[in-house]
Amino acid sequence: MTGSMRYRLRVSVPTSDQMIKFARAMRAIQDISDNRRYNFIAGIHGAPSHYCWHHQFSRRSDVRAQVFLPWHRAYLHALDLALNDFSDDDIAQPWWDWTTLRDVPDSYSATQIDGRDNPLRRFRMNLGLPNGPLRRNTRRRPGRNPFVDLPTAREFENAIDDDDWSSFSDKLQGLHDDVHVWVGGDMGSTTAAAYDPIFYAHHAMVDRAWYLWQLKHGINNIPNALLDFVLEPFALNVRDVLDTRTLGYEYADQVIPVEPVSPVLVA
Amino acid sequence: MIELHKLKTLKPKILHDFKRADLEIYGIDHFRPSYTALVFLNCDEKDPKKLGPDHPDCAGRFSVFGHENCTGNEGHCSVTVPQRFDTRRSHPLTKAFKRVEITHALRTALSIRKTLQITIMVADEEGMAKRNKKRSAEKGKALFSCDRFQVVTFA
Repeated sequence: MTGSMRYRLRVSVPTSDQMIKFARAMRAIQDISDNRRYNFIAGIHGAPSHYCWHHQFSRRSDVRAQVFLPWHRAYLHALDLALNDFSDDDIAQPWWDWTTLRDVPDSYSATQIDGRDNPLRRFRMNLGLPNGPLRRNTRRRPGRNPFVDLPTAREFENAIDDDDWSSFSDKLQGLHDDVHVWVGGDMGSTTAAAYDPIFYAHHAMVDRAWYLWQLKHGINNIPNALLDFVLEPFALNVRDVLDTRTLGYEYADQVIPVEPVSPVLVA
Repeated sequence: MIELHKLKTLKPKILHDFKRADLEIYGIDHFRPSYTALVFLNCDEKDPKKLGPDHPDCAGRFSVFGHENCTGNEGHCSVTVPQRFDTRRSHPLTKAFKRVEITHALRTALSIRKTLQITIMVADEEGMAKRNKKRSAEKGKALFSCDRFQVVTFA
């Protein structure tokens, strides 16, 4: 598969070949202890690095800097690259379609995958912080906020149908916030959310929404003033992440391998 | 924890029919635990326990993905004023903006009465306040606070 496009597929069952390969790659980067490790990548989003972009603005421009979607696309791409550094298989992150799968997916709650502890269920954070170390497993408390549910297909489609970038971005960020609050626990905290492996399946769904919106309303449909924003700490700006194909992936529903057969002479 | 915020009653003059209406909320403090807020228009319900996302006066909702606690040294979570020649992006705790589409609810509310009262009801994760009693940097503050609101209609 090397050299071809990676297809991000929906989260599948824990016994599927797709999830087993993904879990193996996640386990590999969770088990190392240098700056290629999962703990380091997770720390880019919240503590200790706090690079994530949610409500900030740029001092270079008066335009409201809605780079929530581009920044998180660059972030997921960084994880993609890290996972593939540690895998002989071609790894693409799965997306959790919370509009149809209305609970934490089995692959992210099962105690084991591939006969070993499931690296998608939780992760042991290891952070030295000024107000005390954070060394414990990530936790979730799904459905414990009485006012929020996972976004519906109708809300998702309503966002996709909105042809205005700014309005679409706000709507999608709102649905994204709902999911963080719904999952709860560490996912409900900007500081710790990215340590929970389900963070990436959630954000792949958010990124897929932007991808679908771009198919409908144009890949380059974004204010010009945002194009040159640098997506720190990645060596990418907004322009670089507009087309997922230039990052080597697309979103698909299914990939069905077809074995080649010997040709039959017909004439 | 559940909070109720009743805003001052407005007498809006809607000059033209609208296709869409938004409630815009500026300057939301998100140095708080995450929460979800429900927006009600002209809600006369006296018992807050009867209010929820399925209540007929509920116009919409928004969630805030919060920074629960400070993980740095003193001053780490103070929103800084830019220096001269400062091209860095703004502080991560720069206050947030949210908009809630309230088209149908506003049309309904204003067809019944000429005044508009917005109520915002906020809930965090059950049990969170108790768990964070010791660590929460923002102990004693309301979950939801913002600088201002406005209703915007689009013809």
